[in-house]
Amino acid sequence: MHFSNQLRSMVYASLMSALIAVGAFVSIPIGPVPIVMQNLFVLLAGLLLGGNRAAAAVGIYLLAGACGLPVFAGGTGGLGRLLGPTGGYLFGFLAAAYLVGKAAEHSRGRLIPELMAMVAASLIVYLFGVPWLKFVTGMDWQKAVAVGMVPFLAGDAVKIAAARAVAGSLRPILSLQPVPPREEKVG
Amino acid sequence: MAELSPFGYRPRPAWINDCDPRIKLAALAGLSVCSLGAGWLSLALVTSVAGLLWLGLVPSAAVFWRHTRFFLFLLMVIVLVRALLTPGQVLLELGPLRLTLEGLKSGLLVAWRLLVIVLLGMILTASTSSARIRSAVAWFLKPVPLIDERQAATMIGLLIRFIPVIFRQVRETAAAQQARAVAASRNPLRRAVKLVLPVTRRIFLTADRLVYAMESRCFTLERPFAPPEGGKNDLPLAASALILCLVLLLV
Repeated sequence: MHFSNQLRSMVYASLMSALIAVGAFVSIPIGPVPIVMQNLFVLLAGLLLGGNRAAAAVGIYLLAGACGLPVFAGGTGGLGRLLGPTGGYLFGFLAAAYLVGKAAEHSRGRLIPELMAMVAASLIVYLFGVPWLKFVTGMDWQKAVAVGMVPFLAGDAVKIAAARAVAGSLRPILSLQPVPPREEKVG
Repeated sequence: MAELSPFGYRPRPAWINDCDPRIKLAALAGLSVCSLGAGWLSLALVTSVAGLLWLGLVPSAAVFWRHTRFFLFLLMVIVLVRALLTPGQVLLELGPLRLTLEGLKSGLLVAWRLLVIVLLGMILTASTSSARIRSAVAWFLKPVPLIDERQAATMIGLLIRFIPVIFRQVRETAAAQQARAVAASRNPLRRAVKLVLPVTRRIFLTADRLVYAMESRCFTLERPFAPPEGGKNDLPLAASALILCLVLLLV
């Protein structure tokens, strides 16, 4: 890959990691698993960056959290959070981002395959998250599904729709078009 | 005056700023893990130390309040939910709702643990430049196979720098929309969509400008990182962190 594109990929992936972190900062605790906006940005990372780069974005996000930076739900961080009751969801994001990314690479912007990939990715997050939650908290399956999956399904549908809408709006400006330099600085 | 932010490092005359970032990262990781099972007394000790460190870095409790007010509200919700759902000695009865002593204690303990973790994370990001965090992360990742430690560390550095940019752009866009009466819509979903679209567009354009800025400065991953240097306060910091971890585990 040309270095310019490689650099752009790296910056975009870092940006998506930061967006996932910001999405996690606002969390609504309704039980052991809070409602967060992370999923939206995980799906968006897949749609915009493709499989490998989206997985890299989520991987960097997890690594930053594991180092103790306050990037997990509610501004927390640390290995304890990664191995705690919600750790399975966090690892599920990695698989979800990769799946959506790979699907987006092959679907070439078609709506139905992308929607199906996002639905599958959301289910994959629960496939990792619910058994982990059951294992760590010692709940039975019924309760783990009741607190770790059912309350979020409606929200997931909204997030899938929002991710597709935002991706549709952003794709035209991610086509490596030159942007005039401005005085705005990062940081 | 430039805005103070826990995510934005600014050089300040604080002793923790000069400490080795590797020790700070290791201390944060250790304290975060240990505080998850901590009791009242040990949490009080760690909070006092962390609070003094915070005030030494950002001499304003208002800054902490401004950046954590939503999180503090969520902690209050956690306390309330636990107090209402945990069975035990009833303190207050409001119709079908029963607030119990055991629930209140358990909720306060969980909320306090989370608050300590957040405070420690903010101390790290406020006291360490992203370049120093990057070099420390690269040092820790060097022995790990299959990971390009330079790229990973650079991406973590960028992540840290992007977070305040995103918050600032959300604030600016929300203010601009309020001035144009976009916020007058009663539908929260509509308001959210109208905010998220322009914010994400602006943020990606900012990322593009960053790419051009990095290219024009001949950025390359082969460029050597500044070695993570320490100072004379490394040993006291490491010893204090170790003692606090032991206190969190044992008391």
